[in-house]
Amino acid sequence: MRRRAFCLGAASALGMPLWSWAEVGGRTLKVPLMLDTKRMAIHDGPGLRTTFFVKGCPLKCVWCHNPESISPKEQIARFGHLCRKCAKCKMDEALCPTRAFKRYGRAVSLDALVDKALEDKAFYDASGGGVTISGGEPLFFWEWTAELLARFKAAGLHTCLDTSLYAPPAAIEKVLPLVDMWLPDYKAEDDARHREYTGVSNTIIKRNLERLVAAKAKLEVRCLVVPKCTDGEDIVARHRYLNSIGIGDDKIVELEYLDYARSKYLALGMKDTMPPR
Amino acid sequence: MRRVGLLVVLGSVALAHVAWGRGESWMPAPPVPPPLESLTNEACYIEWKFRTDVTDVTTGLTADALKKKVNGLWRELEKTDDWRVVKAKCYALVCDEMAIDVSPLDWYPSISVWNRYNRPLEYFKHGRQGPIAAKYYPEVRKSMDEGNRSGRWKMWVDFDHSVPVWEELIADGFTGVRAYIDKCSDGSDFYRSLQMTVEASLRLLARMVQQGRRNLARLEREAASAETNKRLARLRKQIAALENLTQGPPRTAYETMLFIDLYFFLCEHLDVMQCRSLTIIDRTLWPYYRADLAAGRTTEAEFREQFRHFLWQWGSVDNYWGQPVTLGGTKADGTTEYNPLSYIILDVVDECNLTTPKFHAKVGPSTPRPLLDKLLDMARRHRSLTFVGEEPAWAILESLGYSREESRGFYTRGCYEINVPNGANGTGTGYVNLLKHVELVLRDAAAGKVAPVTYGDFQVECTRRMAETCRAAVHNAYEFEKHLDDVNPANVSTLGVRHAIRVKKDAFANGSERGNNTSILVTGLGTTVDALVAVKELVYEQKVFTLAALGKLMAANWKGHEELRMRMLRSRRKYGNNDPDANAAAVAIQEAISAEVNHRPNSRGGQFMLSGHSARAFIYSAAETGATPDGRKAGAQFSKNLSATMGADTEGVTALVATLGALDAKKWPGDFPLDVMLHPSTVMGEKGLALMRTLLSVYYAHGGLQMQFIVVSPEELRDAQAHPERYESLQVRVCGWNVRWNDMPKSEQDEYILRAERIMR
Repeated sequence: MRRRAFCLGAASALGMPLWSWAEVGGRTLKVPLMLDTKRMAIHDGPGLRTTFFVKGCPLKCVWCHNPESISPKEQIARFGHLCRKCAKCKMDEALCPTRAFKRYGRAVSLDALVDKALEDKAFYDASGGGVTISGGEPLFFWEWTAELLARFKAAGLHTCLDTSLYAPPAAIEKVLPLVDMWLPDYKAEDDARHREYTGVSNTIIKRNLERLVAAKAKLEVRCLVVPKCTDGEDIVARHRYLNSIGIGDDKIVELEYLDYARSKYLALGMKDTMPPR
Repeated sequence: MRRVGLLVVLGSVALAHVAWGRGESWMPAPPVPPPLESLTNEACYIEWKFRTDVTDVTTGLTADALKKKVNGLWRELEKTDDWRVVKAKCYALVCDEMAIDVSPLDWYPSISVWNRYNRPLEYFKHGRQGPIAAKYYPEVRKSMDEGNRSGRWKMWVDFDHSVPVWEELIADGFTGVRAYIDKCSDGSDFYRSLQMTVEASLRLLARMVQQGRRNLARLEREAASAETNKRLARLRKQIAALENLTQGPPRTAYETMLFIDLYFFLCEHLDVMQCRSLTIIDRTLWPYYRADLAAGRTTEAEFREQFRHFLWQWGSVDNYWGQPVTLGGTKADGTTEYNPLSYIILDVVDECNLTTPKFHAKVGPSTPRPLLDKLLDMARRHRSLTFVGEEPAWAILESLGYSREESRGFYTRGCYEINVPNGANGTGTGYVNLLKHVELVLRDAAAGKVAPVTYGDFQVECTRRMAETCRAAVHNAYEFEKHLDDVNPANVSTLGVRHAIRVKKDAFANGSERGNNTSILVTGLGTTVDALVAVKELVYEQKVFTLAALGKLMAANWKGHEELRMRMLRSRRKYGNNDPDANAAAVAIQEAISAEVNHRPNSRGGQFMLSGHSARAFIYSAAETGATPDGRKAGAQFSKNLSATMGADTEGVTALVATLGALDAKKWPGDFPLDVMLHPSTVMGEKGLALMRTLLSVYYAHGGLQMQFIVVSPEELRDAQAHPERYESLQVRVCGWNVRWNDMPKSEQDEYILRAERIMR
C-alpha cells in the first residue's frame, strides 16, 4: 500500500509516463534510460570509480544541478550560445558541428553496463575503487538497480549507491545487502522546507536513513548547503538529527552549492528554478 | 660601455618569460634584449646571458667574428689535415679567442657563443653533410630527399643526442681525461685532436680564472656594502672552483655543477654536438653536498642559490626542445636513490618554474611516497616533469640485451629516450609518417591500382607499405650513419667516454661501450588507427562507398559530404577508447613496423629501436598528409606521441591507458610516452594525488613507460588566450617538453583548447 502511494506521488510530481518496462532475468522490471557514464570519478565513493547515472527522479529539487536527470524520457537539449543556426539543422548531436545539441537518455542493457564497469577494474583494484550508481534516483527503479548491483557484486566490484533515499522500504531491503557504501543526500531537516524545495516530504527519507543506521550500513551523508534555502539553522538541525540517529560528523559531508547548471535548464526548455548563490 | 659584470646597482628590468633566439622559421621571433647596462642584478643577468652577448668585449671576439675566422681556418686546413684535427683546431681557436666573462652576479661563466643558432663551428654540423653525402652515399641521400618531399618520412642526420658517461667524466675532470688520453695515445691524429681539444678547454678555463680575478680586483675597489660583499664572496668561490677544475676533478657540489655547465656549453655551443643530459642530478650531487655540509664548505641556502643559477643557464638558453635532467632511481639493494637533496632540488625547480631544464623523475617501488606526492603536486601545477616507470624501463632495456645492473642506472637523453649510462650516444634519424601510407593506398584504390577485397586485405596493404618505409629508413640510416664522424667529429663528446678513448673511436659515431643505438620514430599512430577503422566501417561493414570511391572523396577533401565527415570525426570507434577494432589495428601496425626496426644492428655497434614520440612531426607531417576517412581534413594535425587524436579519446583517461596496455612497450624500446590531460578539479587535494598515483601505477603495470600530466581546463585556456598578460607563467606540455602558453601560435592554442573541451566536457 505504502509502495503504491509512493509511486503515485512521484507520478503526480512528474506527469506520466515515467518509465519503461523490460524483461530481465525472467522478471518484468521498470528500466531507466541511462543519462551518462562517468569513468575515473573520484568524488562518488572511495578510490577511482565508474559512476552510472540513471535518468528519472521522483524529486524536483529547485537547485537540481542535473535537470536533465529529472525526466525519465529521452530529451534533446539545444545550447543556444553554441548554435550557429545552420540552415539544414537536423537537431542531431552527432552531426552538429558546434555540439550545440545534446541528447540525454539512452537505453543500455545490464550486460553492457557491467562490461563497461569491468573495463576499469585495474584502476579500482589499484585505488580501492569500484562502481557507483547515481542519477536521477536509482531507487526509483529499485528492482532494476538491485539486479544491476547484484551483477556488479558477482563481478567482484565494490558498490556505492548515490540516492535521495526517497524510496519504499522494500527497495531499501532489496538493495541493502548489495551496497558496500551508501551516499545518501539529506536535503533539509524541516519537512515544510523539504516539501517546498524538493516537492516531497522527508518522512520516508528519514525512515530509510534510520533503517540504514540500524543495519550498520557504511554511509556518507551529503548535505547540500544552499544559501537562504538550506543553510543556517537547517544545516545545524540536519547535523543534530543525523547525530541523534547515530551518524557522526565524520560521516557527514557538506557540499557547496554551485549554480553552474542554469544553461542546461535553458537548453532543455525548462524553467530555471535554481536559487541564487 | 658593454661591460655589465661589475655593475652592482640593483636593476628593475622585468623578467619577460618569452621565447627567443629561435632558429627555425615556425618559431616566434626573439624579443629585443634590454640594454646591457640594465642587467645589473642577478635575476636579469642570468635570464639574459644566453639571449644576448653579456661578455666583456676586451676579452675576445664575438660569435660572428669567430665564425668568420673558423670558416677561413677549416677551408685552409681541410686540404692538409685530417678532418678531426681540423675541427680540434677550430675548436681551439674559439676557446682561445672567444669573449668571456666571470660575473659576480652569476655562479657560472659567460661566453660570447651564446646563441645556439649562430655557432662558429656550425659548418661541421650542417655544411659538411652535403659533400660527405655526395662522396659516400649519394643514392641514400636521394632516397631521403624523395621521402622528405613525398611526406612518407622526415629523415635527417642527427647530431643532437650525445651524452658522456657522466660518472666517469666527473670522476676524471678535464685533467684526468687528459692523462687518460696521454696514456692511450699512439700519436695518431685521433689522439692528437683529443689532446688539442682538452688542452684548449683547459686554456679556456684558465682564461676564465684570469677574467674572474680582474673582475674581483675591480669589485674590491668599490664601496663595501652587504650586496657587494655577497657578490665578492660568490666571485671568489667561482674563481677558486674554476682554478681547481684546471687542476683536477670537481671536489664539491658547486664544482660539480660548474663542471657539468662547462662541459655542456663546450660540447653544445662550441663543438656543435647537442648534449642531451645533465646527469641524474640528485644522485650525482648528493655525496658532494653531504660532504660539503659536514665540512662547513657550504650552506643549504648557498646551494639553493647555486642550483637556481644552474637551472637558469638552460632557462636562459630556452632551447625549444628542452634540456633533460633525470631524478632518482633505485640502488642495487632495492633502496631508493632519492635523498634529502632531491627535495631541495625540487623546491628550487618549483620556485623557478622554467620550461627547461625538463625533469624526468624515475618512479618505482622504492620511490618514497612523500617525494612522489611532491612531484605529482608540482605536475598538477604545470611544472615541467615526466614520470618514467622504472620497472617498465628495466624490462625494455633488458629486452635489448642489457643487464639489470646496467638497466638500473638508465637515464633520459632527448625528449623521452632512455639509455643505459655506457650506451647513451644515440640518434633519432627521422619520423615515419604512418598516416601517409593510408592516404597512398586510398589514392591507389581511386586510381584502380589496388582493390583489397576484405578489410583484412586493406589493413595488410597499409601495414605492408608502412613496414617497407621503415625498412628503407633503417637502410638509409645504416648507410649515412657510417659517416657521422666524417661530417662532425665528436671531439668533446669523446672526452666524456673512456671506452671510446681506449678503443680509438669517436664516442658519438660508434665509441660507446654498449653500442650507439639509432631510433626510428613514427608519428600519427592514433590517427592512422582511426583511419583504418573508418575504412572498415564505411567500405567493408556499412558499404557506404567502395574503396575507390572513398579514395576519390579523400582526394576531394570530403567535399559534399560534411555530414558524413562530422559523423566519422565523432565516432567512438577510435584509438584511445579501448575499442577492440582500434586496438587490433594498432597492434597490427605495431607488429609490422617493429619487426622491421627493432633488434636490427646499425652501423655504429648498436641497434635500431622503434620510438613512439612525435615531437612536432604531428604538426608538420600532418600538413603534408591529405584527408583521411576518420573525418580529418587535409593538413589537419594528427595524434601526438602514442596518445589519441585530439578529442577522439572520449571514453576518458582510463580507456586511454587501457588502449596503450593493448600495445607492447617492449616493441617501442626507444620510448613509449603517454600524455594525460586532466581537468584541474580532478586533481585537487589528496584525492587528486591519489588519482594521479593510480594512473601511474596502472599504466606501469600495463608496461607503459613515460606519463606526463597536462592539468588545465578549457575555461582557463580560453581565458589565457584572451588575456595572455595574466598567464605569463602558464606552461603546457607539448611533447617531451613544456612550452609557455604565450609562446604557442594561436592555431596550436586553438587545437589545445579543442582537445581540452572534448576530453573534459
